[in-house]
Amino acid sequence: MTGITPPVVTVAAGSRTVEIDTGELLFPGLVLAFCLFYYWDTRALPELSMLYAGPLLYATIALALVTAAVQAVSVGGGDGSSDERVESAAAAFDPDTDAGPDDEGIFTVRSAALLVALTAGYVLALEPIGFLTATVAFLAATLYLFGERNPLALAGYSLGFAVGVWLVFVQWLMIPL
Amino acid sequence: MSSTDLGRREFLAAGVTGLSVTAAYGADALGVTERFDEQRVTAIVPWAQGGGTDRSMRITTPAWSDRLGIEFVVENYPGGSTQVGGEELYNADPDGTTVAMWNMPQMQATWLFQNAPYQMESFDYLGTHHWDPTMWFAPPDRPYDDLEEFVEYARENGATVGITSAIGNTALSALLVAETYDLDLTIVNMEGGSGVRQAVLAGDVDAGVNQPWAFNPDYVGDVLALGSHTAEPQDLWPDTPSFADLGLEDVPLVEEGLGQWKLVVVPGGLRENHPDRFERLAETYSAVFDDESFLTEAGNQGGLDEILEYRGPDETAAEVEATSQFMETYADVVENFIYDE
Amino acid sequence: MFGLLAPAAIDGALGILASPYVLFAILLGTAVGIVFGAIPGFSATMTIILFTPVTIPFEPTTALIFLVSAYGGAVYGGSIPAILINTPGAPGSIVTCWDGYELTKQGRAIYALAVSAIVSGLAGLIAATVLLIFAPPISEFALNFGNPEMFLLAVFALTIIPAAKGSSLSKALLAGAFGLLIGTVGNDPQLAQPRATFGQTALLEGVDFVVVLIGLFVLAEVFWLAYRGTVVTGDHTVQRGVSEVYDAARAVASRPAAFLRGALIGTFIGALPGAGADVANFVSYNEAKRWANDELADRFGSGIIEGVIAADSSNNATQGSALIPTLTLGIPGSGATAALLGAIALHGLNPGPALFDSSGDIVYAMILSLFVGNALILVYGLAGSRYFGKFAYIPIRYIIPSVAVLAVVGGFAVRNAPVDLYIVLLFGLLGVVLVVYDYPLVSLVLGVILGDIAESGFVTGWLLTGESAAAFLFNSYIAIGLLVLIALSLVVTAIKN
Repeated sequence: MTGITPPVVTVAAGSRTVEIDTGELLFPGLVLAFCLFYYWDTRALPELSMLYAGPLLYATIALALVTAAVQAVSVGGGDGSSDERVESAAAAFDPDTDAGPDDEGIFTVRSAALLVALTAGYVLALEPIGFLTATVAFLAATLYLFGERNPLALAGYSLGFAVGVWLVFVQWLMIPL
Repeated sequence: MSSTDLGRREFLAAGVTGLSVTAAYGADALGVTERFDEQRVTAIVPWAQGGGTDRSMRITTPAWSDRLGIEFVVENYPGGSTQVGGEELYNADPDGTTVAMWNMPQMQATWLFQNAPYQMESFDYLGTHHWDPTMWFAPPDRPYDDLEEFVEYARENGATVGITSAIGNTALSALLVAETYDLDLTIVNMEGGSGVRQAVLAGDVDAGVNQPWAFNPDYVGDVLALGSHTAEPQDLWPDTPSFADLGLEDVPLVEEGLGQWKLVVVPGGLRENHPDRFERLAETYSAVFDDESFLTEAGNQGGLDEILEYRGPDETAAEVEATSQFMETYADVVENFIYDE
Repeated sequence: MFGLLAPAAIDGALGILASPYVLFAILLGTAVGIVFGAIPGFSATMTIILFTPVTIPFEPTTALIFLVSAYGGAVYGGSIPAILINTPGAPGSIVTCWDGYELTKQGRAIYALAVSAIVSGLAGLIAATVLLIFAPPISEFALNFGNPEMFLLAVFALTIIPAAKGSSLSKALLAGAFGLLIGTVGNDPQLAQPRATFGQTALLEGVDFVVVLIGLFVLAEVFWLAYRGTVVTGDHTVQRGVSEVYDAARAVASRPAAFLRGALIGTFIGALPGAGADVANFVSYNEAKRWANDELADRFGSGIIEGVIAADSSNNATQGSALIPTLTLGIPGSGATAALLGAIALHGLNPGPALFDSSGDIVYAMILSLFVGNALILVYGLAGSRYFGKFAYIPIRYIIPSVAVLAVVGGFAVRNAPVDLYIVLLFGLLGVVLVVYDYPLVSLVLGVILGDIAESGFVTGWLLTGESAAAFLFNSYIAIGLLVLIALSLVVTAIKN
């Protein structure tokens, strides 16, 4: 778990300290932001349209506040709850690394973040520059990012895979990509 | 990994990749990557697969395609009470490669009571398909046998009424009956013809408003038919009085008949810009209604052949206009329902 | 029990299965499933999602049977890289690594793979039998559910997830409620007024849960894979020959209790919403350890065959039972069954209590195809695990970009709406947050899936029961029973926490 631990903020109030794990605030915060937008967007709707969604919206807000309070805030300090955080089953798997030195530094937070950025760029570029171009460029860049250095493999796979997907989805399934 | 230290292999990789990206871009730009066979007509259905509109379209396209000599692809765009499919049609090029089967007055409701960006004039109208009258049904164990008795019952006790969609002929019929006789009806949208059917069969509602074909004539005998929102009795559901038979002429639209039209619509501008293509589509579409295999197939679909009613482009446009007018006339009834309940 | 089976539908189903196309779909589907399951980072969920669009041109029966077969194959296939390269193909095979990879280090990879194939296939058959027996009466019973009951069922499905999965109550409920709220985006069912659609026409119909599923279970997994990476070490001597397979058969035959325990644990856990193969293999392994004598218990993890049996008998058994709530109630309990539910809807069938009624022959054909599929897992696994094993060595750097492209393309293909591209991306990012902070992904997806059922159940039920809470909640004995179950699952989770 290198590098992705958001700060724990400690607030001292008299003899007691309150610790806030800011990372735990992330999801409840995002939910609250969405709820706020939802409230703003639906405020003028007829009652019948919100018969179910209205109470659900308030329940979600309440759950977000409770979760933020329960998960992120700990009074007294010392028992940093982030240490005992249990990952999902997939994440809990931690291979006993007997990797070669080549693999060092390829799978990192940084490369994951770059992958996210590349994927976002790919999604944005699909419409303006066309499916094939965007896909070949994305594949090549990502392969390079994760350590493929053989130029033939890099270009061949990018082009081959993109054309394959294009044949299946655009030509055969008629998806208007 | 650092890009300042560009080795020979990395340089080659960048070069080859750059070339393939360029090749891909060139292919895109030259139009090589367009779909090979553009020669097909997209048939938009603004409802999910398996619904009445979908089935009507799917039994129509084979015979139509035979006469037109072009293949049809039926695409479903459900949602937004037909607005999603409507916008798909609105945004399609008026070049004769896109048609849609829509239903009235649902169609008008999307621009009158929802925020659809199009209007009646945004489309050209190819022809009607069939007309299914609005009809009231009830579970068989209720203390009323027709709509007149139902009105009496509801005046005393109030009643729950299931309808097929938020704003359409069934909602309008329920609202008009409630308004005319000042009834306290709880109107609940069952989201589709089969929803109303299930609610009536299960006895969840005191009455359900639907159309006989959409309700499915296989269920004659399982439910009570209270009456049809028409002046003359309809043909599909036996022994069902019309509103006029029951003396309920005070309800608006009985004389004209309130029902659901299905019709074929094309993007606006086709008739003006490509009159030849419009004519060809209209002629081949009208010929479908003489096709033996189409009529047989329609008969297999719960007696759809009995309510088929083809009208040509001009008559269809006039019908669309008339429907728009009465929907506007009763707009306040609908809006009161939406905002006051 | 068998009196409840609808004979006409079974006849129809057997007719469907007799078609050469359908048999070919099972043959091909199982093989495709094993191959993709064997690729590290490819779960059964991803396999189903990515192949669903490809099945569009085919007839619903063939398409769905292909996908069900691929599902079974992929669960088994996940154990192949677990044994060969210590990397589970899917979370359901994590535990398989512990003893399976040790056996590979000892040169006994073929032996471990053969045992895995035998127990996977046989456990799958047991679970398929359970499905065939229990699904029809449950679906019959579910037809009695009215509107309030459907709403309460949706709430129950969301509250039992933290109990079954052992995650934090508030986090699971928040994820579920957020999912339900996402499910209300679009036109409301009564008056067709748009809610939180961001002005997007495609969203009038709502957020498609398959798009959310692709974001959370495919794209997020790719992002996570990019950080986690994997370890490929393939230089182990491998004992070959028929004797290894023979040993494997003997190993299973001499431990019937261990096998049955795993299969039954898997069957039971698979039927719970929210808990699938990923939970079952941990529980089964722990139980196997608990039941073992001290001497044997100490050797778990050192490469004993009991460990492989415990893991792999449980994970394949989850498939059949996970289909029970999916096919009878329209409530999928895992990512894979949610993906399958999406495929069922895509092919024009209506998931929910009425599914058996309206499409009985197709549903029975799917169920019966599991018997053929699991028998095939045995055949393929024994004869070809070495060849399928080759896919375990595909470098992760090729898997990451390929799956990312397929996720984006697949997300768009769901309904050809450009806005879905951004939704996939958003939920991909959100999925990473959820995984890092241990929110159950399945709660969010299930919330979106159940959004429509919950809303129309609540609104219609509320209006028809005279807008009274008491009449709504105590509508029937079924409703009261569901209320009790909801309360129980909340209490159990609260105590566990």
